[in-house]
Amino acid sequence: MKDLENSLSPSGGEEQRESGAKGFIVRHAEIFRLLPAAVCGLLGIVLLLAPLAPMLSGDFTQAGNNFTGYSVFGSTGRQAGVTVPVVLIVVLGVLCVLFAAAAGIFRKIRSSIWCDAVACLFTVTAFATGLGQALWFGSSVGVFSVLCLVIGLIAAAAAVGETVLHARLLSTRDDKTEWKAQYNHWKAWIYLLPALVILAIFTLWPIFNTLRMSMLKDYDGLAQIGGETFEFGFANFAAVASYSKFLTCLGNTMLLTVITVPISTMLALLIAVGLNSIKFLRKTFQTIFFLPYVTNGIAIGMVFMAMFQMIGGGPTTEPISIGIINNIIKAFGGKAINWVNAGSSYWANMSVLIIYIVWNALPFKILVLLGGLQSVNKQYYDAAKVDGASRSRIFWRITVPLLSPMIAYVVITGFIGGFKEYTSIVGIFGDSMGPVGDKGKLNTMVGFIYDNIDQNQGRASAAALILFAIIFVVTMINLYVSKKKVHY
Amino acid sequence: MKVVLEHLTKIFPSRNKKDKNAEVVAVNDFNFEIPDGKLIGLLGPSGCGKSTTLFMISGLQAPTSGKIYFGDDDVTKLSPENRGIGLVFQNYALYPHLTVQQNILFPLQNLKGKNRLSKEEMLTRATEVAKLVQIDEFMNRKPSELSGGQQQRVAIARALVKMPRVLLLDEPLSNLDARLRLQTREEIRRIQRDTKITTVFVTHDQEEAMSISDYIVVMKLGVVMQTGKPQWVYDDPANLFVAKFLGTPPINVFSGRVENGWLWIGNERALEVKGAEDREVYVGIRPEGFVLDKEGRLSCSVSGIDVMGRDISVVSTHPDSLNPVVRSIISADEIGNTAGTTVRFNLKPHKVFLFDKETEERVYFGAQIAAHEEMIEKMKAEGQAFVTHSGPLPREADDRAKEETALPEQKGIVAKLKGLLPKKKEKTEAPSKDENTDSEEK
Repeated sequence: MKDLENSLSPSGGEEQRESGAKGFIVRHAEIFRLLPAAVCGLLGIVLLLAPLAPMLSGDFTQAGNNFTGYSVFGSTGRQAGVTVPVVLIVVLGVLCVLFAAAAGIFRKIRSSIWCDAVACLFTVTAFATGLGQALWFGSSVGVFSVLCLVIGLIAAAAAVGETVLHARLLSTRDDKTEWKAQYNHWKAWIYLLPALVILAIFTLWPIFNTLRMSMLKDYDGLAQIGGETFEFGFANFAAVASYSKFLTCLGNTMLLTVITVPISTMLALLIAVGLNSIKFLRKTFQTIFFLPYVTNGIAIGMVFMAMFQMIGGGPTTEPISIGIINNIIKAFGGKAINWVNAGSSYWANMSVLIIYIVWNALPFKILVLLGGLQSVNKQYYDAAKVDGASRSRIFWRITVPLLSPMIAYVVITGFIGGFKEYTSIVGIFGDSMGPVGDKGKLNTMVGFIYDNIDQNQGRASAAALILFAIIFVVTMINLYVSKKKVHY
Repeated sequence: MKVVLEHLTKIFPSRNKKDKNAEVVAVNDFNFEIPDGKLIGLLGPSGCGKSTTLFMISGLQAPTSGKIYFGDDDVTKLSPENRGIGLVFQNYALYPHLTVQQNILFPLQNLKGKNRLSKEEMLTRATEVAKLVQIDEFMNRKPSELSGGQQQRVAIARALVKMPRVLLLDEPLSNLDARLRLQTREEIRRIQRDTKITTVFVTHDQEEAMSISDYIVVMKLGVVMQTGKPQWVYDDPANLFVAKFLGTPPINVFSGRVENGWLWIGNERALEVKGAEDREVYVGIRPEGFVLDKEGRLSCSVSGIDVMGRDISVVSTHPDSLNPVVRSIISADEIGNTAGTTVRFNLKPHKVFLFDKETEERVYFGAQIAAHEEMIEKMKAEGQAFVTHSGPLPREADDRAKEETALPEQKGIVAKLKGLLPKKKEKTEAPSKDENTDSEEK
């Protein structure tokens, strides 16, 4: 039994002979490696929220000011640039928290190396934040800042100690050359640095800025430069949520997504299977089906508008000119329908939109599904043929399950794309986002954000965050369902 | 269910439809009658058309010409699901997203109309078949959680569950390790004996085919070289290819001639061959056909002795041998008869096969003539014909000729490779006719 233990332990046989506290630490090295990261994670959260401590006593202004670094230079002479370092540090802290959580929870990452990296990064973050707070926020949060400093130092010590312990373990391993090599990748980080810096400035900072702007009531960037101040709080979210125009947008978005995604996925599946089974003219049809992807959304939207138009018609009068769709309807003996022009009904507009969005979404989905189809081993079809399965049975019981990873991918990206629908509506209806006379009837979330971005970035940011939350929840649901249903 | 294949031919056209020479004749005029309830092995080297024949019997490939009968029904135009066959693929083709039980139930769920069974009946049948192949403990596992042998058995169960008329197996043992192969081939034989379904399997391993088949069909380049019971084909090969393909260690081939009722190998009169005409021949001698004798007629120079426990393999060389070495298996008791570097053998007549140098077909002599007639009678009694192919058979000489006429670059590479191999003993010119028994030692 002892031999088995020896061979199974990650640190080799020699350490097992050490007894007492050192032995205990070494045997449970995994836990000890994770512990500092977890502690630092918690500390990071605490330090993150420390500037907001005044909120507990009801002083929201002070908390907000703390957050934005306003109070550093007193009541006058604010510099917007002051917020950047603190914000960057806080962003790092958030990342570390997430990372440590992931590493700790999933333990799938090579816990040793990553947790060390995370722990050290954490320590730096915690320490710097604590220090920054102590220096920048002055005596009003003095106690807190000192506490942060102390905790930061403890975290630093823990990480250092953990690294030392790890180095000890390293030195007793036989394959230490391999392990040391894993640590010697500072050059890689240098190579990555430019990309990381640009990423931080152009992706991470705007994300954080959105968060910040959404918390400031009716924030307007220009106005801030001009000297206005903004209230900190969830006012933007409240305003957006109760705004009727926003609710219209939300409704439109949900409706469009829920209808177009299943239709386009099913159609794409059928077309992909069809394309896969024909040899003759396959390339031609592939090109035809792929055309929507390479065309411009706005230009084709205008074409659709022209196709569906009906100018100057009414209950009693004949229209002056009608588009091709109405011509076809008339050829079959029906009456021209007002699809997209002034006075058209909501559902007529929606139908046109749905047709357009589905048509636009098909090519990418067909591409992915066709690729997946061609990776299915042909022998399964032979075996199914020998087993006497009909074509529809082969499709539902063999092809679709074997394609399920691709289908899951297509559905998830389809939903994410569907919630962000904007260009199709602008393409067909123009800037007014609705038929003439009915401005904004068909607006979507992205449209709402775009509309508000000039005057009221706070509200736009809040709407963006709400959209993010919705997409996140829907994606989580999709992932959960796909875990159950997808066969890898 | 009797299976009759009549003039079955499969030609794969070349990519350039005009080029007649580039088309591949995968199966060339295959005639065979598989008796009901027997296990048939299709045996041959790679590219000989055995898998193509199997797929034509199954219906997944349509023959270019010829007919296939299951019993009295002409099934040539029927699709696979209507023929009533079960097919086990080389890599099993188990549906990876279904459990073992669902895999086995799948064919039953596809039965329509009056053949359709109720759910309980389906389950009973599935469990029965699973017990037959001894896979019933794994019913809830997915194929990826099973070992190779277990997947193999699930594939066999899936093929058997719909009670097919014919069971077809495509290289069933090629994906298994050596120990499992022995086990599984016994399983296949046991299952076949229990269910009495006509079974055809394809293999390139002659030991495997010989050990479990009731009949074997030896193929080369789409042509049936010989059919019959394994022992008959081993004891009475119809041509040089069949003689060389069966048997471990492989048969020793010499170049010789028949003259006045005697077989000459080199300058020695090796064996009396009454009834054979004078001609140049290839002489195939089975390793067990050598008898050590101090006054033996055939002398070889010994290069080594392999001790195999029960037997001893004497490895020697002979100038007229077409193989690099001559292996002879003698029992360990006789070893005392070797003297120094030369060893003399006598040959057992029933282990010596003569093949005409031109056609590479068998030349019979002495007692072999009668034995061969007897075998033909035995085969007729079982409903088999001895020779099934009417046209010319592919010969070794053709293979060598193809090598010679290879493209210059290829020839260069072949020559280079040949330069790396140990030099084969060159064949002697027409051996002198005098009765000098001194053999030239090189």
